[in-house]
Amino acid sequence: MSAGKPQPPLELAYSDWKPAYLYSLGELSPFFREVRDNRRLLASKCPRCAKVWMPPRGDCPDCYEENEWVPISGEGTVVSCSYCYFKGHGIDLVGYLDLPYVYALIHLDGTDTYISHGVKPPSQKMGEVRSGTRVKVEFKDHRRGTLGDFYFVPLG
Amino acid sequence: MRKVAIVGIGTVPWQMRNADKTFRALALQVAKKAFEHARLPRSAVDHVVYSIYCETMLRQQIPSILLQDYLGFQGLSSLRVEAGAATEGYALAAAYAQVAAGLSDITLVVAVQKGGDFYDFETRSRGDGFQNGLAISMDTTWLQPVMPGVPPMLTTFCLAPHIERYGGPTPEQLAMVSVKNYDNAYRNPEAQLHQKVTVDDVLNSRIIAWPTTTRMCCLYSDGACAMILASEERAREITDKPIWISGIATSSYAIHRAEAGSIGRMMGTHIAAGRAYKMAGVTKPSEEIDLAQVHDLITGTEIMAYEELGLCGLGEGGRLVEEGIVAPDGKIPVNTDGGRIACGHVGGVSGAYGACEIVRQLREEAGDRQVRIRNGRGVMQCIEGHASLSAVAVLERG
Repeated sequence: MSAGKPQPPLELAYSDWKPAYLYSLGELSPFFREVRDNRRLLASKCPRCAKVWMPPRGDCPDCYEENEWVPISGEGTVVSCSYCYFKGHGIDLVGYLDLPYVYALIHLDGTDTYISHGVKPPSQKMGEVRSGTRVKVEFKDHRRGTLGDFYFVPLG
Repeated sequence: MRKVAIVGIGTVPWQMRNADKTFRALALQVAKKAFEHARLPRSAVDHVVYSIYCETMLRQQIPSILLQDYLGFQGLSSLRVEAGAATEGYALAAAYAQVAAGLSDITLVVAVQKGGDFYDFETRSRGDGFQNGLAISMDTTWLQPVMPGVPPMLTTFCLAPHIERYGGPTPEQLAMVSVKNYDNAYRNPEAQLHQKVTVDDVLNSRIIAWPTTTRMCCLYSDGACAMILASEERAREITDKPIWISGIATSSYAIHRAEAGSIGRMMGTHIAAGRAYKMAGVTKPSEEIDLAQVHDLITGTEIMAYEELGLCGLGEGGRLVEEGIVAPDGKIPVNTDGGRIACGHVGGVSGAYGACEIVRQLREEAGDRQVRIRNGRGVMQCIEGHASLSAVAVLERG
């Protein structure tokens, strides 16, 4: 190695390490198929303890019973939220939800747990969406079967 | 079970990016420093635990195989631990268990992580690259498609419901934590930032997720540190300043399974703290703990950690920072190194660095930032991204 002024570290650009998936939604397929094909939300209910899970899960973690699908209205109440001015990787609702992005925990009617999702605020003004705000689901025009196929808007 | 002590630590300065060293060389650097600190030959080690949180960040799967070779531990047993940003606490628990059980006399814990090599070629930003790379570590079905990032998630699941339930902390109290941690980092030569900020600076910095602003959020960094754990018999031979792990516990309490009882709290920390205190015989943490290193991913989680660790009652955390109780000259200084807010943060390392900071303070080797030690006891807490996985360790001198 030749003497002389110190050289900076050598850097290599890599963007080749992108594994591709044909990802199975498995036991959650009915939920995402209903979202994609019928613009409807389903929740999952334990046949033993009757707890209704949202987001849905295939099995009840308390009873180890296979849950059953139940339809829900898609309306609910915000229990917590924050106005986000930060466009992280997560927001793939481009054209539907921009900044400020209201990231909320929503208690959907007929369910026992809360789902976290984006709410479209009525205006840029902070604070119009808050805990207690009634919301309903809206579906995007183009859906492929992900959580980002829908979002929430204030009711009325 | 045998008593276990930390008998040596090795740390390096935090940097947003350390392009001069690969993760292998960083690991060797901190291991070497730990051996020097303990005045031990490398051959004394019989087991190695690797605290490594994310393979995607390293662009390398199964990194422990490569590290075990690079560090020259041919033939030794090793274990790699991964628990999100609580990895450090889980790794310390795994190393503790190995020594306490008598399976190892001297275990080396190596914490290393690089995140600064992520890059977004479209926006030419490391920060965007980091966010993109990190996204897959969230629940890819139920969070990642809609969640804007970790600080917004912790704000929505933990901080905002906490404020609603208890009426605090206030934005000013949240900002005071940043001011304190920046001040602490200013006195830590290994900190990534050496700046002073005011409450107004913090409140006026860009809003990330109200009430959390940029200056209330952690840094992201490349980092590494190491610790050497020894059985009681070996520890007393090695040093006259052993720092005992008198209590250690982990707890998993899924906060993303959001229910009335889980949001607005860090129940995992509450449960782990209860177990760790019981093991250590701590009954009144607010009186028996001298200092704490807690998970300030956002300043809200630092304040909530005061409460879940029992340093004050629920809803009283904001008062601790406002009254200076958690300041370096207060009753229970917190994040004396500058914390994740101003010293440095990357999953797998910052909690271990916090444990090293407590070791330094309890050995009274903390230089300009040395705090007063009364009971000789400190507590370390770390959480994974959602605050679902938590680890708490009680460290003690004597």
